[in-house]
Amino acid sequence: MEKIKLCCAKCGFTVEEYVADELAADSRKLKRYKYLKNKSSICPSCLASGRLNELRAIEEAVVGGAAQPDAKSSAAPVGHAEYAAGETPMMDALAGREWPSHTTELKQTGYPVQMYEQALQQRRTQWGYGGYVSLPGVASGVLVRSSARPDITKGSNFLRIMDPCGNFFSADAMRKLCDIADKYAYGLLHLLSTGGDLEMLGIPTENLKPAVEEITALGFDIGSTGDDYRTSEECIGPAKCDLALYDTLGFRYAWYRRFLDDVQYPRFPHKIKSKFAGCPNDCVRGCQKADIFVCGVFRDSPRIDQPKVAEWVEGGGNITLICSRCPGRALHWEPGRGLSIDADSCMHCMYCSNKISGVRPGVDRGVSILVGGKLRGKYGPTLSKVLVPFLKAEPPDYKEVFDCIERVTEIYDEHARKKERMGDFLLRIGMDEFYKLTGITPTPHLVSQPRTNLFCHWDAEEVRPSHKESPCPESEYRR
Amino acid sequence: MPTITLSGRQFEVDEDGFIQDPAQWDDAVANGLAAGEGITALTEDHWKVIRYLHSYYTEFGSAPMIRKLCKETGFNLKTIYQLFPTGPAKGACKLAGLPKPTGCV
Repeated sequence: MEKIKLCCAKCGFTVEEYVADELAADSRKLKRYKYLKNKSSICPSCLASGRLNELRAIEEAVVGGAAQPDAKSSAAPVGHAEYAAGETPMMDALAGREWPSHTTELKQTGYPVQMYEQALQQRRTQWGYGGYVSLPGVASGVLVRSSARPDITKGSNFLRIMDPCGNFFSADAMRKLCDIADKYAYGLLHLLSTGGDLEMLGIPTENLKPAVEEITALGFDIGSTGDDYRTSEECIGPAKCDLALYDTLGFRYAWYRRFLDDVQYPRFPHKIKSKFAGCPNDCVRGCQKADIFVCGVFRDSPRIDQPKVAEWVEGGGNITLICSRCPGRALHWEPGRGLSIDADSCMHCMYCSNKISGVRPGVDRGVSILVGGKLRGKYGPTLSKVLVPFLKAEPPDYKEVFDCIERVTEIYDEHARKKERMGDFLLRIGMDEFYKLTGITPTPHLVSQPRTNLFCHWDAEEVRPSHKESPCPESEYRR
Repeated sequence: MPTITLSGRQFEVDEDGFIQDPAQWDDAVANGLAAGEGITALTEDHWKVIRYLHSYYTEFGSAPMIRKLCKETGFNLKTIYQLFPTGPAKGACKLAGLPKPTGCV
């Protein structure tokens, strides 16, 4: 077997390897090989460390015939200490006056401030690629961010700590976590990342193992990196909000009890993000961001407290506007008879409940499961689609809901390609095929566009003639 | 290219310690590499995973998906991590004499 190797133009690292016979037989491989060879590409680590610019400088010098070496490349590398003591004019400009400032916070920790200062000066980030660190016994939870400026810092490891439900930390537990961060890391915590987990930044590789041991001894778990379930996120739910239609905190706790192994041991084709919202207001942005989104819904019509509504109207509430903006035109107000809701037209969009304190969600409550939302991936952002319109959420183990979620992930695990998000997978095979695979029967309640945008305002003259009969004829907010 | 010596034989390895020629692999190689992966003694469960990986590689020329590995051996992923602390890709594939798998498992 004759092997053909494509090596990095700078460091000689083997980027790709081909077998000669396969290359001759497969035209796609041959095309890729020729493309890469013509490009004379370099490996990601060289790209991250800025060697491409060095390479270009050398090439330019050769082409131009200039005998003088490049001043930048001939200069001795600047030491870490020199950079650490350097001036930070751009960061000082951002330092706090009336408002707490991130630069003041960063300067009090071990964070390499020159990385940020240089980023501000050069108008692009000085950090490089990210990746995972293999720590024996720890399958996921440790990441590394490489540095494009090895003269300032060599890169930075960080740990993802799975937060308790509701993101509640007791002051005591937080104090202990801070002690660990001071002892082993920069002394800098990232609260909370967009995935809903706590990140401890800047841990040297030799400190990773003792840091992980101390964190797990406190009762916290680390995980949520790689191709597994990421840390789920839920809205505050019944702990602070009166609109929550199911116990999101208890739901997430039960979810962890059932799926903790999948959070800590990566096995899926790509990451799976889960978010749980208490009501269709979707404060966790699950519809846009989550591969699996569990949303609290109700089936009956909203409950009306007539005296409270009448009081609200007397106090100056614009009930006519609310009725005109109801997307299903289900709200009707008559001064003598009070407010009424047409149950068949109601779309359960929560608009009236948000606006009028006398209208609350109904009592026949459950959850709906949506799949396939994401912001990145092969085909770009997708909104999630309703898979199951209504399921009863029954504590303590929520068996019916979790069985459904597990079935979805098993199908995804079996049929998706490597590094293909759930949304891309659904686009590739289609929803019909997905229903067949999961064995879920489609119903008329599955709507791809459940809610029109109530918060978009326009003037009457901006509306095209055919749209004049819109339920939202003109803006009252704008005046 | 760096080399390692196991039971009197020399093997060429890459920068992560994966042996380069799978044809040279035998049980002695797995036993020799086990200590470096934090495994004190190879049990029957270890051999089940290792033999499956090696036979899959000789048949198809690549490492199996994790899902397939779990299904065929009957272990769940957590058990495999307990058997091979460095993970199925870095630990188990190295002991089974496979080249370094691509991707970040």
